[in-house]
Order: sequence, then structure tokens, then C-alpha cells
Amino acid sequence: MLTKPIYAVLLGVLLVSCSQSKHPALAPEYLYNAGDQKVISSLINNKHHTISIIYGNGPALRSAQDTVRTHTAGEQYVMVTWRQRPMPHWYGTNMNGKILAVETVTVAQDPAGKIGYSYLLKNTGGNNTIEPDVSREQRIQLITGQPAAVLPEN
Amino acid sequence: MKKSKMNPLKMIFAFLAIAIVIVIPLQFSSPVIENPPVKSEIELPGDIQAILQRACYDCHSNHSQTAWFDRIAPASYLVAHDIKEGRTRFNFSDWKANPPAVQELLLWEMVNAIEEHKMPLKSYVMVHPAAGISAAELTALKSYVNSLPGRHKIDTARIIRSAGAPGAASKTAGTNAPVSLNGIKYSGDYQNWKIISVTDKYDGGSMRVVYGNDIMVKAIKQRQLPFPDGAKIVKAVWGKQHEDKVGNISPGNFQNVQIMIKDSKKYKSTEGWGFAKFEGLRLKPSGKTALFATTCINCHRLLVPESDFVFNIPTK
Ligand code: HEC
Ligand code: HEC
Repeated sequence: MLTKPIYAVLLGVLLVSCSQSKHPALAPEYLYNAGDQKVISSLINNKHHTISIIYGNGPALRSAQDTVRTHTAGEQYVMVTWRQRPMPHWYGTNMNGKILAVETVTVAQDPAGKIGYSYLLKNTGGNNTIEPDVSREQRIQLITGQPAAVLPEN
Repeated sequence: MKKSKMNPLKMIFAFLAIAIVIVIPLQFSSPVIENPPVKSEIELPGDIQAILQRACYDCHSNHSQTAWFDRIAPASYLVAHDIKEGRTRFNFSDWKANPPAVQELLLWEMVNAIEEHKMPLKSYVMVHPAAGISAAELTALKSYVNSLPGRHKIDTARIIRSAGAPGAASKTAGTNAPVSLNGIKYSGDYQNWKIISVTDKYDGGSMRVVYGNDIMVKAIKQRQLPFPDGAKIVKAVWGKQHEDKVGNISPGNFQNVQIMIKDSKKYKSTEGWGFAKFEGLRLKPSGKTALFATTCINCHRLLVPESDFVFNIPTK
């Protein structure tokens, strides 16, 4: 029996520190749920220390896989940007840390048949993490202009 | 019950008896550490060579220099075992046995083995304190690996988008899917899975997207470690293209996919994970025999045993 409370405290500290050091703490909040959207491509930016994925719905992915890029109404793109961080236990890889920004681009057609783009930026990383020197048109161009990363045929 | 006490004299006799009966005869069968001839010695800058020579050569080269106390049984058995095992992992005196990309990967792995205090083996440093590596030496090793050619490799080749001619029947789908030498069949299902990680890897200049199936993602969400049977991880690897004006780097050619499938019974010999790797758009299975998976787990086991041998997990 533990007669002195100090022993109980010490034992507690010991147990906690053991169970803590055994496994790393998983951080599911760093995952992004893209729903049914598929990966179009990824981007590394070492000037801004970010790493990104561009997701798209079916029409967006088909457009990105086509070497002649044409855009049609209904395409939807989401670019998720994470802060880069060094991979724990492997010096020599950077991986995604916390989510900084989510940008959405939707392609629509006006009654006259003209294609237009709507752009929505959600900064989740606190301050403005998407390059302030870059215009919204440039972001739309980047996001809708990335060719799909090549994967084996399915 | 009263414990019977041995008087000191009896104790000394007992020790001597043990020494005569066990330890001395052991010396006659004690393993002899031999240095086979050098095949192709690694070539390194002088300062780097000196560090590795002092700290690693006893076990990872054909220049093992054992101390007198290493040659006394039973210690000699451990020493011989470590040297034999160390040389099979990689041997500085048979360095060209590794293709150039593997040579670079091994050097990065060495840096990590040192940084994570896995190498030199703790038992060895205890009796050979001079083999320890200082922080300044580790920094020198890091700058050396960062100067290797693979670190700044840029994929400038035209991007190949398909394994066959346009419109040709898919070579990868369904029953014709390639199978790894340990029996893992390629499937493109991961393209519908969630992403668990995105990475920029320094050696070899590549960028990666890591997908997890529902079981894997659910385990991360529930903070469940080790990962349950049925968890699957697929990593797709591309070259890196030139950086654009605003600093963006996009994927170049597709290089390979790497797979880990958790089945604690089936893949018991590799810590419960089934490993597979398929190269190029034609998805050529990696390795020469099914033992290729041992090289996979050896590196994952050395560096990430606490996270169920998985590097790419979101952690705080
Ligand atoms: C006392 C012998 C000994 C010394 C000294 C030693 N190693 Fe090892 N090394 C081993 C053994 C045994 C293994 C395999 C078993 C293990 O992983 O513990 C190994 C494995 C490794 C691996 C893993 C290779 C793989 O299969 O993926 C690396 C990397 C490594 N050593 C690097 C080093 C470096 C770098 C040094 C010097 C700083 C060093 N070792 C010094 C014995 C040694
Ligand atoms: C020299 C060490 C080393 C060897 C050998 C190695 N890996 Fe890995 N592996 C890594 C590192 C480091 C990462 C994480 C970095 C990255 O890929 O972006 C990783 C990541 C992975 C991942 C993603 C899941 C994870 O653990 O992060 C898979 C799947 C994988 N490796 C499969 C393999 C297969 C299959 C082989 C054998 C053909 C292999 N590995 C051999 C070091 C190694």
C-alpha cells in the first residue's frame, strides 16, 4: 500500500511519462477531408515554407489530365496549403504540418456563355499566409492551371 | 524458511570453478574476427572519412580492429555477431555493391541513425567511448549529405503521361495487375483514398503523396497506435521540376509507388507490415527475391519503432 501521497504522485508521473514517451501523439487535425474530390497535384514552396495539394472534382480532374487545357462550367478546385515541417525521425524530408489556407475555385458560365471563375480564400493559419504580392487572378491561374500529376492508369 | 549463506571463501571457489569449467574452455571456441579483402572502398572527403572510420568501421567494413577485451568469450560472441550483422547491412569495403542512388540513401540513413542515437550501437560506445560522435561531427555529416548530387536533382525530362501508346489497353488494371515478389498485388484503389501526408524528400530529389485507406485514416483520427490489421498506406513518388518565379515546385515524372499493408500474422517477419514497391508507369515489381522486404523493414525498424514503423503520420 502507498502510505505516503508523494509515492503515489511519483508513481503517477512515472506511468504518465512512460506511456507518453512510447508512442508519438497523433494530430488528426492536420488531415484535410476533401470529400469525393481527387488529388490533381501537389506543390512545394520553399520560399514560403509551405506544401500544398490541389484537389478537384471529376470535371476538374479531367481538365487537368488533358494536355490542351480548356475549362468548363462545373469544375471545382480546392487547394490546401500546409506549413512545412521537418519530418520527425528522418532528417532530410519536409512534410506537411498544420493547415494554413484553403482556396476554392469554381468555374461557372454566365447567361451569355462566358466562362468565369469564383475564388474563395480561407486563411486558417492566422495571418495572411497566401503570398500577399500575388493577385487573385494569379492564384486562380495557378490552381486551375496545374497539370495532373501522372499516376499509373487505373 | 532460512536462507543458507555461503561464506566468502566458498564464493571465491565457486567463481573459480565456473571460470575453469565454463569461461576458459569457451576461449578455445571463441569466434575469430577476420577481415576479408577489400573489394571497393568508399571514397569520402578526409574529415568525413575520419569520423566514420573511427565510429563505424569496426562493424561496417573489412577493417575491423577489435580490442583485446572484445576477443574474450563470451563478449567475443556478441562482437562477432555485431560485425557479421553490421557488414551484411552495408559494408564500406564493398561499397560499389550498392547502386549510386542506394549509396546516397545509405549515407542519409547513417546521418539519421546517428541523430536518433541508434548508431554506433550503445553497447559498443559503452566500452569504446572514443567512438561517440559529437554534435559538430554530426553537423559536418549533414552538410556532406546535403552536398551529394541527388540533393539538388531536378527532373527536366519531358513528362511521360502513359505506360503505353495512347488508347492502348491498360496494363495495370484487374487480373493483369503486377504482383510483388512477396505476393502483394498492385491496385489503383488508393487514388480514391484520403491523403495522410505530403512530402519533399532530399535524397534523390523527389516529392511524394501518401494515401491511407479508411482503416488507416480512422486509426489516425482515433489516435490508435499501433495501427490495426487492414490498414494500408500507399506512397506515390515523382521527380521535382524547376522552381517557378514565385517558388512553386511541381511534380515531374512518376517514379514509383510504395505500399505498406498491415497484417500482423501474415507479415510477422517484417513487424506486421507487408512491403511492396512498383517502379515506373509499367509498375515493375522491385527486388530480386522476396527478401527485398527485409531491407525495407530494416530502415523503418531502426528509425521509427515508436510509431509502428511508419514515418508519414501527422504528429504534433
Ligand atoms: C558494434 C558494431 C557497430 C558499430 C560500431 C556500428 N554499427 Fe551500425 N549496425 C550494427 C548492427 C549489428 C546493425 C544491424 C542491427 C541493428 O539495426 O541494430 C547495424 C545497422 C546499421 C544501420 C541500418 C542499416 C539497414 O539495414 O537499414 C545503419 C544505417 C548503421 N548501422 C549505421 C552506422 C553508423 C553510421 C555507424 C557509425 C557512426 C555504425 N552504424 C556503427 C553494428 C554496428
Ligand atoms: C533507408 C531507409 C528506408 C528504406 C530502406 C525504405 N524506406 Fe520506406 N520510408 C523511409 C522514409 C524516410 C520514409 C518517409 C519519407 C518519405 O518517403 O517521404 C519512408 C516512407 C515509406 C512509406 C510511407 C509510409 C511511411 O512509413 O511513412 C512506405 C509505404 C514505404 N516507405 C515503403 C517502403 C518500401 C516498400 C521499402 C522497400 C522496398 C522501403 N520503404 C524502404 C525510409 C526507408
